[in-house]
Amino acid sequence: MKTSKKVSPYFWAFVGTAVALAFAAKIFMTMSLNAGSSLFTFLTAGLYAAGMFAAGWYWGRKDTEYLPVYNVGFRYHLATYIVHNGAFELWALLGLNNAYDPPRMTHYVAAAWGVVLVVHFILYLGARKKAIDNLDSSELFE
Amino acid sequence: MDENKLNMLLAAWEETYKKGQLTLWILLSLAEGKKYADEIKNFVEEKSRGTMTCENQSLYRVLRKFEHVGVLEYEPGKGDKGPERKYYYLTELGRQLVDRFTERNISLFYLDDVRSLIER
Repeated sequence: MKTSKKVSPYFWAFVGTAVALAFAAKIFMTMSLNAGSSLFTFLTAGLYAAGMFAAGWYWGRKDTEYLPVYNVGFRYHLATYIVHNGAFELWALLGLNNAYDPPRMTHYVAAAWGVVLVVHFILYLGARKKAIDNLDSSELFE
Repeated sequence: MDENKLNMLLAAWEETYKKGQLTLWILLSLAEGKKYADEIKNFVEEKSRGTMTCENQSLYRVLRKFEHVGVLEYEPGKGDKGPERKYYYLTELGRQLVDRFTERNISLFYLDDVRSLIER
């Protein structure tokens, strides 16, 4: 039987969690802005950030215990970027944004975050020499 | 001689020494022949005279890693009772890995000058 190189089920669980959180955040942030409440807008943003961090921490740890993929953090960072910006851009595309949350802000965030992602990608490539078939070589033998 | 201190030193050394040993025992068990997880576990515990034990979670994690890098593969087979089991076996890469590792790191303990130090 050929060696499987598939992504772990924990990664997909994280992606599902991220999608749910992103859309929930967008819905509640828009509702808060429409109601004119900056407090609830910031609260929603804070809870969203905390939720994403916790989801990444939990599923990422499970993922590493399943298979020690090297620099698994980049995979989760990329997934977060795609899910967050995909959800927020879709919201803007559907014309559901509040006036105080114009679509261009979503574009600016995606662009700025994209630069950070590229830097992380470069670091990820640099760490690759320590990997054997995508697994951290220092975690292979126990 | 301080027996307590000796025991503490021995335990600390063995803890460091055993790192990486589980891999060797698991691969040796498969070098003997195809095995399912419980058989591998029993081999490790018996052949190591109880000095090595492996929890199911650790064992499956190790098997998963080695299957990912192509050191071993598995095929379904009949269990003694109940559902099918996965029978693990070494690939050609796995066999060469075990052979080279033991040649470079274990066989030297059988050299006359080294063996005489161990058996003194």
